[in-house]
Order: sequence, then structure tokens, then C-alpha cells
Amino acid sequence: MLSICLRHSSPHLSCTSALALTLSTSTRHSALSTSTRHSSSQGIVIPPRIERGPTDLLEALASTVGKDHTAPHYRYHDDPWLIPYKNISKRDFTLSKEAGKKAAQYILNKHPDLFDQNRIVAEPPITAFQPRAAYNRDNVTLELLDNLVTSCQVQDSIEVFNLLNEKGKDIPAEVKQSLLELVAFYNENEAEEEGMESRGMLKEQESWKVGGFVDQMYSEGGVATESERVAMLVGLGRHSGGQRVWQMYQECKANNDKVPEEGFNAAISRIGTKEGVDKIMGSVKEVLSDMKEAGVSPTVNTLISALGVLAFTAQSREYEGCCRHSLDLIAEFRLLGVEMSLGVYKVLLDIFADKKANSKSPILSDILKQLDGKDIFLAQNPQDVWFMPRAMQVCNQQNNAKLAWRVDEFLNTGHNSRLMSDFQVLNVYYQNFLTVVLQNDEFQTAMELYNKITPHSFSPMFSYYQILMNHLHANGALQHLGKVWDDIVISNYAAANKENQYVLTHQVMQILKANDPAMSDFTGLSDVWVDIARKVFNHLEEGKSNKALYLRFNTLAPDICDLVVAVALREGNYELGAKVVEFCREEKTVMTKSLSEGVLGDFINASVALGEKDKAVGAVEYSVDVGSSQAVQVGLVVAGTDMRADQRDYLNKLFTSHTGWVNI
Amino acid sequence: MSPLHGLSHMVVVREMTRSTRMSVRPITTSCRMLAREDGKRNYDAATILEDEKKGVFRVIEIGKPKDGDRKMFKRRGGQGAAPPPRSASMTPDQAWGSVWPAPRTFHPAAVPLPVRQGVVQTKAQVVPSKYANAELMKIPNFLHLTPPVISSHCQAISKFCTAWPKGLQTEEDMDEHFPITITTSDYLNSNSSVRDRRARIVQVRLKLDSLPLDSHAKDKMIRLVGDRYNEETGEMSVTSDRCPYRGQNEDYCKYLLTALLHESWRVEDWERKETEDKEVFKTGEEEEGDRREALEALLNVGEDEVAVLRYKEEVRKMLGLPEQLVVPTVVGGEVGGE
Repeated sequence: MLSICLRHSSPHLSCTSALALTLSTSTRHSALSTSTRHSSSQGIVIPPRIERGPTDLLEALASTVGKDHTAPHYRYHDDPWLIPYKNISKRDFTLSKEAGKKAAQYILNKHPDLFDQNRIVAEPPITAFQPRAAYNRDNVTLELLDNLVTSCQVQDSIEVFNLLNEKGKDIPAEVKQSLLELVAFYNENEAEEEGMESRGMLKEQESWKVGGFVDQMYSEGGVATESERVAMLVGLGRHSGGQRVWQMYQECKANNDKVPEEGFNAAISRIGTKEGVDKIMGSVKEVLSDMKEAGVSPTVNTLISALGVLAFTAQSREYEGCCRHSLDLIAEFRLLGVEMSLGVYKVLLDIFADKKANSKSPILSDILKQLDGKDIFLAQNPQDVWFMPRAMQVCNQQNNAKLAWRVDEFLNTGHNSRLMSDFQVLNVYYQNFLTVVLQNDEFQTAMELYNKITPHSFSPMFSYYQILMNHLHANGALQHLGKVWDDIVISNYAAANKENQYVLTHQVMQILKANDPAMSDFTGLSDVWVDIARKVFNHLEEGKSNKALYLRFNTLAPDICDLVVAVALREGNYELGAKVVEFCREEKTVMTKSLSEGVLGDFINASVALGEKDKAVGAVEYSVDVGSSQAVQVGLVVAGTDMRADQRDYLNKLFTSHTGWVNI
Repeated sequence: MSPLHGLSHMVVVREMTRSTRMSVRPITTSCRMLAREDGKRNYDAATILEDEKKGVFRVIEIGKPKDGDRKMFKRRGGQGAAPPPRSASMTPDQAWGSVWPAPRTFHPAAVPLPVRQGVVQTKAQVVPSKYANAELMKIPNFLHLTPPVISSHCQAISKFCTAWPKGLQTEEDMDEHFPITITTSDYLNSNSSVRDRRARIVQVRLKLDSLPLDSHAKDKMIRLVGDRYNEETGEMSVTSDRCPYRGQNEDYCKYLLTALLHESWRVEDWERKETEDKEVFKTGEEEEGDRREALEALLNVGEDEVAVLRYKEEVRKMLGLPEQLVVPTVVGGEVGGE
């Protein structure tokens, strides 16, 4: 009898990604060896198999894929016409996608009978996509309530509970208790759907529903039991119940309840911050000693709550006291073996880096030294997510670009970038990052960073663009101006209101005026200048009757027109200049100021030189209408040219009341 | 609950509310949007009184304004030109593996190459460019597997690879120590169901030389497996798809191999025939007559000129005929010289 022994010695070939719609196959070959037939005379040594999990190969391959900065976020459709560039569009896209999902679920729940015979059978079946059952008096039972509570269906269980109460059924105490815990934990909202934050939806910050279902249930039950009180305490703490948290905590303490760690954390976070630091620390220590007596070991959340209380006080006075106490607290918790999460460091930054006093606290570089190279993207506390933006804010306040780069490096180690979950976090982080690098680092580096991040990772605010354009002007880096201006336009003037839009256009026109393309090393700038000037003017013209800012109230409009004409004439583009002058003529009653004399003079000279007599006469008329002091001069200039009779008469008529005019 | 219920308190970061100079309009006579472009008559509080003094009075407008809708439409701010495609901002030294990580339908805006594809009927036409080119989209592309990307993938996977075993350098070594190959296939799809019935098929391949068989056993084994034996490679393959699960099919194949091995060694009574079926024709051993080598060569090896000639000689010898000498003749062309 021969025995065949199995040995899988050749590795799998990995499957291609499951996102492919086409079929893909992979074949697995395994070789079996006969061990008794030929003993290994040559001494075949098969190295032992390196164990790997089912997705390890895929993860290894995925680790070779970095971030593509030229691409929009994965959630958007990758088409040049459909990529959102404005913050509003990005938000709209996310919200509309969610709205679509909700609408589909609404239809599914409203008409479940239409979805009985599906062509596509999901195997294994997906309960989340099946229509929700409607509950009425007939089909509610106690087991149903039990099931709903254990599977965390908050609103369904409330409905079923009410129906059972109406029916008059007697509900056992444990079911009531678990229902109370469930509803208190979720504050009567549905449990958050998985993946909401990764799709870009922000969590709603709701406070406790006072007088809602939970409060009613609690008060109806007569004298509260220990577990009920604890459930209320935890629920209130989770959803910012205000003063009731402290009251509930005192109640629990009075009744010697076994308060869990979350209860203690909630109590600490509600310690009043009006008294001095020492009193606050006293209360904190009290709660902590209660914890010790109860035998509950504190976690990092406790530490963060305690530090959070200190952070409030650090803003006002007693800065050193808060700092000292916070460091003591951290040392103690470290002795207890509590692992620090990013939230701790975030609250530390809140304490040490004072927003107003501009203190140059070196706390951030110490923190970064601690965190160097660590991959701690698993968030344990909501504050963890805010560490990066806060760190960047601190860097910006302290004007420290090197630290900013270190924070960015930390963000890119391992999976830490997963912490940047929603728009708010992203915006704060990148706004501060871009600003601090622009203002404190080399211009070239700042431009590279800007080009990398805009517009897909982040669309900057208009304040950043102002600073950027100033730097462009100061560094003479005019080759970037075209792209920067395009970015500004496509992001809808960086989401600025109408006034600020004109501030931006005014600024760019000033830069255009101040920098003569003929003097710079770059070619082709002249066309870019004219193009920008034209776009600026079109923007002004289209916005003249905009409800937000009428032309008559737009104080910058005349300056803008002025600069546009100046630039147009300098770059030899007469039509644009003529168009602007025409516009100013039409709107002369509405615009607050008129075109400046120098510019008008240049224009008239140019018109005369090009033989555009009508326009020249029109310009002269304009200068007379606005009461310019050089009206007569320019009139004489025009008069010097060869003109038709009616034009001569018109000029004479214009200047009838002017001294120094000689009829021609 | 309406679908938008949950959205009513979505946190939306609002940009700064704009500050308007005129916070309250004193009189509103009609919609601002109905104001006419040419500015001749503005139904605007500030200008109405002046107009009336000049003798220009307001005209009542009953019914839907005609250019009102168009005005509103225009106010939306038209589409504008699309920004340049992404390929314009890609640098030549970017990480292509990050841009195109997985197989993907060809997307012209993301590929920084000026590829063209298509057939043209006349010389005057130009081969179509990559934008809106269905031909480029239909064919499979391997943009996700450029050589540098493949090297980076190999580097990433290499940590799971062990060294090739020493002593397994040649194919013969591998056949000797690892003779059996089992092949199964996995099928992926993006359906709501992940199952595919074809994944149950198992094929076991084995070289017959690696089995301990004598001549009778080998002969019987080949007869038993029939078509499944490949004469050129000496390999037999057994495929099973009769069971619903892959593991069951694999077990069944192994059972079949075991059964075949044992069966081919067994000699049944009915196998012993008076005239046995042999693969090789042999004469002169037990029966009458001498060895008929030429005949054996013809029947066992095959026919060709030499073999047929030899057979002829043998038969002539048997029949007592004189031998024929074979005279070589020169075919074609003169031999130079002699």
C-alpha cells in the first residue's frame, strides 16, 4: 500500500480586484509530493511556508498605491465636466447622494409589495436592504421587542413598545431596562449607519431630548432602580445633557450605585469651570477617588475629560496652574499604564497653546517627538480626529513651518490619514497648513504644496488667495498667476461673498498693473494678462445688477475698470479698453467714481492714434460729464485730428461753457 | 418619514453671510429681475419717482413676464468652459501606480499619452484621437501593469515568498518529488451573489511514470482511463465535477486514483486470454517459426521505405528467392568531374 501525502508548496496567485465588472478567474495549483518513493538523496530542503492571512497579499499590493493628487476624491465622478471644484458643489454632491439613498429607502419602505419578486437574489441575504416591516397592533409581540432591542433598532423598538403599551401587555422589567439603555444611548435617534463619515457626511450634534421618550419612561417607572439611573447617567453624558449629568451623578453616588467608567467620565466633563483651577482639580480628584473606591479603572477617555475641563480654564487666567496640573495628570495616568491616544495630545494643545496670548509654547514639538513614526489611526475618542487640525492651527499661530511639515509627515505615516474624516477637519487642517507654509517657508515650496493640494484635496478660502497673490507679486513669480487666477475663478472666487470677490479682482488687477510682462523673463505673459483683465471685466459687468451688490455700491468697480483699461492699453489690446470705457460711459451715473484722468488721457491718445474718432469723442464727452479738469486738454487733442463736421459741432457744444476752449 | 427628514439638521458649514449696504429696501414695487437691460426704465424705488417727475410712468404688467425666465436662467451663470483634463497637470515623474492602480476602462482625461486608434477610409482623414474613442474603451488595456508598477508589486509581495528549494533544479526533479498537480478555478463577479457553480470543478494530473506500475498494470491503467491519457506527454488527468463542493470533488478524484491503481495491478480471470491483446507484435518466442524481425519492425514501429525494403528481403529469403541488390542511383544533376 502506498500512501500519498499532501503538501501544498506553491503559493496562491492573487485574485484581481473585486471591483471589476468582468469575470476574472484565478487558478490555484498545488503540487503533491510522494514521500516514500524516493527519499531525498539530493537533500531537498523546502523552506517552511510563510503564513499569511486571506487578504495579506491584497494589502501588500494596496500598500504600493499612494495618493493621486491630480484626481478628485474617489466619491466623485471622474470626468472633467463633473469634477466639483467649489466647496459648495462638493457638499451638494455628498448631500444629494445621501438624499438619493434616503429616497430609495423611503420608496422601499413605503411600497414593500413592489419588491417581492426580485430578479437579483442577494446571497447571502442583506437585511439592511430589505423593506422594514410596518408594525401595527396585530403583529407586535414581546419577542419582537426583544429582538429589536438586541439588534439595536431604536425607532422600531420605541414604536413596538408604545404599541405593546397600548395593547396593555405587561412588559418584563429586563426588557424595559434594556430598552431604556438602548434609547438613552442613542438619544432616540437611529443607530448611525456604518460608513456615513467615510462618505463625507458630518454627524449631527444633537443635545439630549428633554421630555422625550426616555425622560417619560424614566419618570413613569416610579422610583428609579440602580440600573435605570446608570443608564440615564450614561445617556445624558453622551448627549450633552447639561446640568442634569451632575445631578444624576450625585443621585447615583447617594444611592451607592455601581457607576461605569463612562458615567464617571461624564461627571468629570461637567465639572463647573467657573471656580479657580485648584477647586476644579479638587472636584476632579474627588471623582477620581470615587472611581477608585468603586474599583473602576480609568481609561484614556477619563484623562481626556479631565484635561478638557482644564482646557476651559486655561483660556482665561491661571495658565501656568492649568499646565502644571495637566502634566501631573498625564504622568499619573501613564503610571497606571493607560495608553495615550491622540485626543490627549489635542487637549494638551488646547491647554498650552493659548489662542490669544500667542504663547510660543514648545509643547507641539515635544508631542511630535513622542509621536514620531507611530501609526495610531484607531480613534478612541472623538477628540482624536481633531488633533491634526489643531496641531496645524498651533503651527500657524506660532508661524513655524518646520513643525507644520513634521505634522504633515506624521499624517502620512501608516494609516493616520484615515483620521481626516470630514470636510471640517480637512478644511481647518489644510487652510492652516497652506497659510503657514506660504508665510514662513520658501516660496517655491509653498507653490509646490499649493499645486499639489488645490483643487482636489482642498479649495482654499479667499483670505489665503489674498496672501498668495501678495506673495506672487513680492516674489515676482508671475508665471504662476495665470493658474492661480484660474483656480480662483473655478472655485467661484474661493467662496467669497460679492464684496470680497471684488477685493480679489481688484488685487489681481493691481498686480497686473504693477508687473509689466515686457520686463519679465517669461514669454506669453501679455496674452495671459489681457485674458485675466477681460475675465475680470466680464465678471464686473455681469455682476452689475446682482442683488448682492449693486454697481452703485461697489466702491472698487471704478478702480477695477481703471486698471483694466490701463493694462489693456499697455498690452496693446484696444478693444478691451474701448469696451470698458463704453461701459463706464453707460454707467457713469451709477458708478461711485469715474475713470482716472491719466487712464482716460491714455485712452484718448490711443483712440486718436488708431483713428477711432467716435470713441475719442465719446471719451471726451465722458470726461466733460464727470467734470474732469483735463477735459479741455483732451478736447484739444481730439480737435487736432481730422474730424467730421458734426463731430466738430458736437465738441463745440460740449465745451460751450468751458473757458480756454477755442471753437474749431 | 420623508426622505429629506434627516437632512433638515445636517451640519453645513456656512460661509460668511454677505453684508449688504442696504439692509432693508424701503419700497419694493416689483421684482428686481424684471428690470430691463437697456436701463431705460427701471422699476426701482430710487428711479421711479425721478421718472415720474420727468413724465415717464410705470406700466402695469399683467401675466407672466416673458424674459423673466430667461433672465433667471442667465443669472445662474452658464456652464463655462470645462477645466483642462487631469493629464495636463501630471508630471512625467509621477507615481503612475497611484494614478491607475487597478484595471479600468480607458479614460482619456486621466491618460497623459496622445494615443490614437481607429481606421480611416481615406488618406485625408486623421486617425481618431483618444477623446470619445469607443475603440479605445472597448479593448482591454494594461495601463495598470506597466513594468515599473509590476516591479513595485513584486517587491511588495516578495516578503511572502520563500526561496526555491535546493535540489529541485530540473523538471525531472520536480516530476519525481511532486508528481501530482491539482487545478481548481475561482470566479469573481460583482453580482449580489458571490457563488459560481464552476468553482467546484477539480482536475488532478499525474504522469504515469511516477506510479509504480509493471507492464500489465500500465497497459490496464491506460485502457481503464481511456481518453484521459495523453500519449505524447505520458500524463493522465482526472476531472471531477459531479459533486456540489470542491472539497468533495477533490476527494473523489483521489479516490479514483487509488481505485485505478489497485485495479490495474489486479489480474482478473477473464483477462487471461488465449491470444492476449498486446501492444507490441512479437514472433518466434513460443509459437512456430523464427523471429520475423522485419515484420515486427513494420508492425511495431511503422512503415517507411527502409522498413518496407527490409520486409521484402525477409519475405524473399523465406520464400527462397535470391536476394535483390539495391543499386543506388544518382538523382538529378551531373556530378562535376567524373
